[in-house]
Amino acid sequence: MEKKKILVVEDEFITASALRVSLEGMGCTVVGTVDTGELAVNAATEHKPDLILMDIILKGDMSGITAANIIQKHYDIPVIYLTGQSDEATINRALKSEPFGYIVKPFDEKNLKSNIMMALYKHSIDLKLKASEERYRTIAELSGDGILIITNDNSIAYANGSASRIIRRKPTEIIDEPLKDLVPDEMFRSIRTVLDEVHITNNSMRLTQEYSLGGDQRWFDTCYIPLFSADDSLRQVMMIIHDITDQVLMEEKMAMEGITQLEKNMEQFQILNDQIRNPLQVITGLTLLEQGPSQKKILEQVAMIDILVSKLDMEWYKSTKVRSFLMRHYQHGGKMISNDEGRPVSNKTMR
Amino acid sequence: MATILIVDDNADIRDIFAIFLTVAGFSTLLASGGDECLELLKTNHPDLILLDIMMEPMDGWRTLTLIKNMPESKDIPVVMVTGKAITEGELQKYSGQFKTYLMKPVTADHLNEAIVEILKL
Repeated sequence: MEKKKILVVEDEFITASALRVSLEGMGCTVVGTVDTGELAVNAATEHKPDLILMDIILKGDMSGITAANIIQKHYDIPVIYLTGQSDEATINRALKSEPFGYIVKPFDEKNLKSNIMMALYKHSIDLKLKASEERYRTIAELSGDGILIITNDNSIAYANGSASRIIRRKPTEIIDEPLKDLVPDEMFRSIRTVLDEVHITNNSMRLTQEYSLGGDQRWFDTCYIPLFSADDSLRQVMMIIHDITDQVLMEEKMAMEGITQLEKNMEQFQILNDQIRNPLQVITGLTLLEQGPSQKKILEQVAMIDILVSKLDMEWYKSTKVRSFLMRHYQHGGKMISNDEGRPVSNKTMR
Repeated sequence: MATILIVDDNADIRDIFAIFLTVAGFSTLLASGGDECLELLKTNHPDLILLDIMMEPMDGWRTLTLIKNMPESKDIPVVMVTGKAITEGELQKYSGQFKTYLMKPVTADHLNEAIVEILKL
């Protein structure tokens, strides 16, 4: 065992001396031997020992359990209780302070050593777990995405800062509260439907949902991930909420600009075709009136140009991309009436 | 003798249509735009109007609406003559207000047939 610093809190002088001898024999350093709760707190503050052996009954007003509680509030130091008393009430009170061991006097050296080793090992594992939890908590807290953990009765087990900003509540107002009380009804119903689905299928789900929050329309790309407990029964669902509102609004703006541009293009196209057909009309008219030898040929050429212009008309309208774009964003296809040959219908008498 | 009012901002086209119609036995009135057309209709009552769509500053559709709003001209049949393809939207919006439409280039026979059919000559 590497040299561990141990504080002994024991009001019986003989026991305290025996402990010091035993501990030093094991290779530990005894940083102090005190006999009251108050002195124990001071010594812990001063020496920051690796472990405290704490008698429950001490001189003075403060019990060992109270002293241990005060010390553990400030420092992460494992405590082993050491007592002649073993009545159930005392043990229960001691257990509540989460001790790392409990030794009943009289003790033997073997028992003492194994208890100390066990407590130090357990504490080192605790520290690793805490560091690991801290690491994940930091990652979750720093995430720009909202992270919520929802229990199977639909209340909030965890919410990071981004999630609290999305819900527009303080973090302290969220934890352990029912989701139902935190978000608008419509949003709750929508989320609950997905949560139910995740509980049934045990599968992750990802979907984009649109909500009205505090008068704003927001779009969220949300992952629902089932969290399984050790016995494999599902208990919680993690929601990772990515706010895509800015992206959606930008796409809409671009779509609108696209429509405006398309309309402009279409208008230009129409004007151009009209301008091409006017000289065709003049050529047709003059050719018919002059009755020259090339009349037939000229009219054939005019007809060919007219067919090309009509094709331009039709291709423009028929372009699948343009049409589907218009249908999606404009709710009509800008359709043009045409006959089977693709030439815009003319000379069709109507009512 | 039936009188046809030709409204087109292209002078050559006005002249050609006028010749077509004169040859076919109609008398003609000419207007180079929407405003001139409406002005003419205050003192003249043609039997039919040939109306171009793409005109500046007042286009054929606007002119058509105003023709149909004037008591003295609202009953005169209108034929749209256009180099621009008519969209479904335009058709839905104005279909009650014009008799038919002809795509340029239109031949003399074609023009004559359309007018004869409408005027039931």
